[in-house]
Amino acid sequence: MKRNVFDAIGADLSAGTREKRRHFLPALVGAISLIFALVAMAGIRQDFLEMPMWRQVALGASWIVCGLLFPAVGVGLWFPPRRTRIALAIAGVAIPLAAVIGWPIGAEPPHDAAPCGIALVALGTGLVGVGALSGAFAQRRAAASTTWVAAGLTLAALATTSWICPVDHGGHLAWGHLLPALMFAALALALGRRLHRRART
Amino acid sequence: MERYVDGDRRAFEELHVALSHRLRGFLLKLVHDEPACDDLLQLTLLKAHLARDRFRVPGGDPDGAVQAWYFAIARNVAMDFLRDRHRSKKREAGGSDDGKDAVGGLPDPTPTAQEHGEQVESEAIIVEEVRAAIAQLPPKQREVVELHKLRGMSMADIASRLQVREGAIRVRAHRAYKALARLLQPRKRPLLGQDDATREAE
Repeated sequence: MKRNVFDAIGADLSAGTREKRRHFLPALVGAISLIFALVAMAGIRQDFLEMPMWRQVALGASWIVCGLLFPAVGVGLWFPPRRTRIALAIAGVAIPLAAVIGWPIGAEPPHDAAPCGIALVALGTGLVGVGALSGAFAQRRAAASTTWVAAGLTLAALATTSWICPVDHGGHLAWGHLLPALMFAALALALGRRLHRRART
Repeated sequence: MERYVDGDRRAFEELHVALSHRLRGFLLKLVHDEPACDDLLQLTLLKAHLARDRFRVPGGDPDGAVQAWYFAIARNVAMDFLRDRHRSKKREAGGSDDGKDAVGGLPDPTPTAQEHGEQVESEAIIVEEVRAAIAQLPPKQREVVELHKLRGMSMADIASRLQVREGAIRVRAHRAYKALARLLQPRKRPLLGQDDATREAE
């Protein structure tokens, strides 16, 4: 079979990918800037270097997995096979949770949860705002793609709060980190679905 | 298919490998034209690519839906091809394009050996009758008809050759064709081109 149409279709798909990348890279730079701005303002937690190595690695990996790979899948820049997607989803949730909670769970006295919750929601809002402005929620046809973007940005914000908050108390983590993250993820997902529906209809 | 719709080039290549062979066989069965099949297959892929955003999975079988969608496009492409080919054949045969669907099957325009023989015989009879009618014309009129119709000379050339004014040649030709029209049956007039010749003579 002649390959001229085959090549033309391939070139068209490549052009579409380039167009997505043109939107994705500035958004990524914006998201990284927001994260580093928050870390710079609040400062890295003082006990960061005293944490176990696995936890330091997990905090770093959370940014890559949730802040980069999840949105890349969500906008259609990376199409991993089904098994890889499942593994990525499990890793993307497990790594930040492990990094945030740590082991063993700390036994510090109760700590005010509000500042961490506010920081998480503020950063999450900035990240989702960047995603919305770059069109990340409406790049793919399936509405499920918005889950990748919303979850990735929320988990990246969750991991970032653990870079700055030194409290490992279970109650603080539950009320100041995990619950706000869960609520924010639901809001981000609802917003993403709405933007997706609006752009696709 | 979803990955292809979302812009995954590798998904398109996998889809192409999985479907091309079967689509080609399907097209070949419809159009019976081996050389055209590759072009039609490319057209199918191109149309599917341009319409990929409209693809939907109606039931719970995505693979079946993809195949059904591609084969529906291939069928439409083949039908368009057959229609175009039918129209071209009709144009070549001098018929008018009435827009009817060729797919239902066309009568074969190629005559059988018996029909061909009858046609040749009928033409031979008409030629003989026309020759006989020309022979009955007065010599001056016959000369003009022979030079004009049989040798294809223009009225001006005939006038120059016979050393007669062109107007006189036109009058002779007009009278000759009118006489031939009387001598020949109406069904044979088109063969002689009497109407045109008379008009030209006038």
